[in-house]
Amino acid sequence: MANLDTGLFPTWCPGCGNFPLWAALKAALKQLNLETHQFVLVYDIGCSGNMTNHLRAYAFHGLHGRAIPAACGIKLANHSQKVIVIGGDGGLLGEGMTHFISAARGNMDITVILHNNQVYGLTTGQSSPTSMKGTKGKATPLGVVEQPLEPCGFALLSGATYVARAFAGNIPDTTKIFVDALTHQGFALVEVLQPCVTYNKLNTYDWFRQRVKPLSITPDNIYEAITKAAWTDQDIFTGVFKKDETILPYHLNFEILKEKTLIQYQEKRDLTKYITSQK
Amino acid sequence: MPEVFGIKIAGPAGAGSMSAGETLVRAFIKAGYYCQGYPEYPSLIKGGHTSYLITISENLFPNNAPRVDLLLALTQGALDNEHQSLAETTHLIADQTLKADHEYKNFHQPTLLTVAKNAGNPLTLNTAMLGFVAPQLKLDTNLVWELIHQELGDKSQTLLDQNKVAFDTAGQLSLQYHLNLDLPKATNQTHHLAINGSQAIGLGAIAAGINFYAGYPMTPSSPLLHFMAAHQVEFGYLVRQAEDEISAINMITGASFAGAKAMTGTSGGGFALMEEGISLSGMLETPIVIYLAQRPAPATGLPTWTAQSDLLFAINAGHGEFPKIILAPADPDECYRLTHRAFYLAQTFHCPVIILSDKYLAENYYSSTDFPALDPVPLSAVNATPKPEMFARYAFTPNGVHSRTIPGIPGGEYIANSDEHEAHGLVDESAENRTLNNQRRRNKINDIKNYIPLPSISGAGDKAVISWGSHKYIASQVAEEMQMAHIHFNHLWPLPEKLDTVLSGYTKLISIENNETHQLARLLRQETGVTIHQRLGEDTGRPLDPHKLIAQIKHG
Repeated sequence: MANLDTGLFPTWCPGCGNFPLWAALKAALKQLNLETHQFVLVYDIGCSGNMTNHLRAYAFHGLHGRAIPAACGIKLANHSQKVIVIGGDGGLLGEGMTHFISAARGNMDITVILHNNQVYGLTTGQSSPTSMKGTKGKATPLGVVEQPLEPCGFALLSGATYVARAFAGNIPDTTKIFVDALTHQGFALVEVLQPCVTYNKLNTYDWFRQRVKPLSITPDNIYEAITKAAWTDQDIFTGVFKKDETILPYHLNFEILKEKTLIQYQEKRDLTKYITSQK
Repeated sequence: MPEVFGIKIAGPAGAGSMSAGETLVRAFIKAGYYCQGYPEYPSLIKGGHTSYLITISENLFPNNAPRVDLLLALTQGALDNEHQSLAETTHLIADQTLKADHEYKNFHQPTLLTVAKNAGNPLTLNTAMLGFVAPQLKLDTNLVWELIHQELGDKSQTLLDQNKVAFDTAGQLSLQYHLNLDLPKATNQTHHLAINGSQAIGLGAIAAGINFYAGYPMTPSSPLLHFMAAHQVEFGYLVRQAEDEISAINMITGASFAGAKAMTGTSGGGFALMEEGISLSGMLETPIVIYLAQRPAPATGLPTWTAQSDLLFAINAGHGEFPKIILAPADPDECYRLTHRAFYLAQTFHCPVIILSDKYLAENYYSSTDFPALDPVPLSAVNATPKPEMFARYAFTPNGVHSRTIPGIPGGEYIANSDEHEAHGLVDESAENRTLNNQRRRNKINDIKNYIPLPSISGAGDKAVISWGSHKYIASQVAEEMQMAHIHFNHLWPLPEKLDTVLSGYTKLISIENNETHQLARLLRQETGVTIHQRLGEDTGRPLDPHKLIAQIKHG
């Protein structure tokens, strides 16, 4: 495949979990042998979204929280493209939660890579929807009151047809999951545990290494999937919690998209029939 | 013979006064009359008071009739509510059991409720009313029944039969009455369309080659959403009811980036939610079309009523400074052409284009001249040659517009970046790059001005009435009566060059707009330095009354 390098080196903090995640994504795209005009990267706003400048491909770096609707629009316009969303726990589950649910319910054929660092990094350390209860952030100095949202369980309940978790500290396994998710037809969530070395002093690489365990087998029902996805004090499973290929992706529910893509409809339209009916 | 004749059909929501009104409008248009239908209804589904005013006129695109010449009251509540709109000469038709608290010379009370009940369904009362009134209006009863049949659509055979019995029995009953209604003369133009602003905007979008429409329900923009959804299979485009307006605008922006001709539609509150997305489209330079159907605000306001109070809001929509274009049609013909033009301008200048309508234009039915066949707007995407660097999508050009590529084109890779960016879309926060992009965006605004026509001017004189959008015909009635010129705007932003020269040619300028703070007058003063001497208009939720405006001008 063509070169993915833009010539710019990332601006992430040294040791940031985004570095190994970036490496795994590049490796997965290479394995899938995709040309740079065959996929679109849709970035949210945040540290994750700053990957924008470091992958040479068609890309859309939109608004905070709104990467998913933009990705859905791109997919519906031209479903021959693979569409990949890069976003964080703040954007995708904070401002963007409604869009996350809606796209999952519709089984939109997009791959959502959720960089979960449990903190707002680029805005210098506020708590996020996945911060653990009691976390002290710059805007929550008394500690977070809310329960953390668990992205995989949330995606399962929203109807996502592919749900997986990876740990950025393990590049080979993360790459494998990315390849699997990118070949799935339908809404795929990959939550990547991505330590923030600057603003999250609790959920560090070491903290995760003590808890992360590979899931031996993909659960065959949603109850077990949710149970396995839930974090416990001892275990955080990585691997695939759900993979259901029996449900049509959103766009294939429409006859007009079975023959060609939406943007291939360029013919002149004859309004005579409708206009005559109004006379 | 009068110039205009007003018929009002009134009843609680759910009793069918709206559908009966639309049926009458269609029947008159088929019979060769110029006609307009104006619904008024509260924000509820059953009960309350709704009415449908049909104005028959000698002129194309008539304004609301100044008085009701014929009232069709379906219930006692309707009769009581409409009491104040009636003149002494008004003909009233209501069931025998209804009571008027006034003496009316022309109160006709056939046994319509009995007709409806005997037909097996009291809800056929509106059909009975049509059956009774059609012969009095010298309408072809077969034609009227055919239109009712169409309106009932795929309802059950029982319901169809009940309506037919009610219609025919009431028609027989009507033979005993002779109301001698004095209608304006028909034009004998039987090829006219019966169409509302929403349908015309939808047809303009379809003709322009729309690929994708996303929206969230909100009155009065929903009729366009419904129209677009109903015709997607037939014409080969896709409609998505989004989870909210924020999603809708981001979806069409993504779709546009990928090459779709894309549009969304909403009203005030929904448009407020879309603003960040409009700014995004300004930064990414994605062509999008946004339909904004105005209604009275602030907040929920008067959901089912009309206003022109979002002009300055639309012009200033979105944070920051970037090119956008605002169009405001006045009638179905303009709705069709200007929507097509909105797509053309969006593809030409790679910017958001906003179409401003309001409930008055969106939901009024008109007799309209035929729509010409238009070619689709070509997609503005080019091929590219693969090079080591990415495609220079945002390279400097004198008019601010650079060619664009879409995903799928090898060598066309670039980043549509909401961060300020250099030519390939990579982030660049330097002052030099910022200045260059500001220059590019300013140049684009200047170039757009070359495509913006001066306002239309009709009539002569050194005094002029000024209007915009839906209130064109209300203002023109005022101008004609006052023997003044009429200056009308359907392109609102950016304003054209040399506008100041045009405006300063008049000794007195009077603005007429359906809002409280005279937004166009303020805009013209801001942009041209020309003072609007008299600023007329208000926002009561109703369209402005030309007679009231004339009186205000006469009293200075």
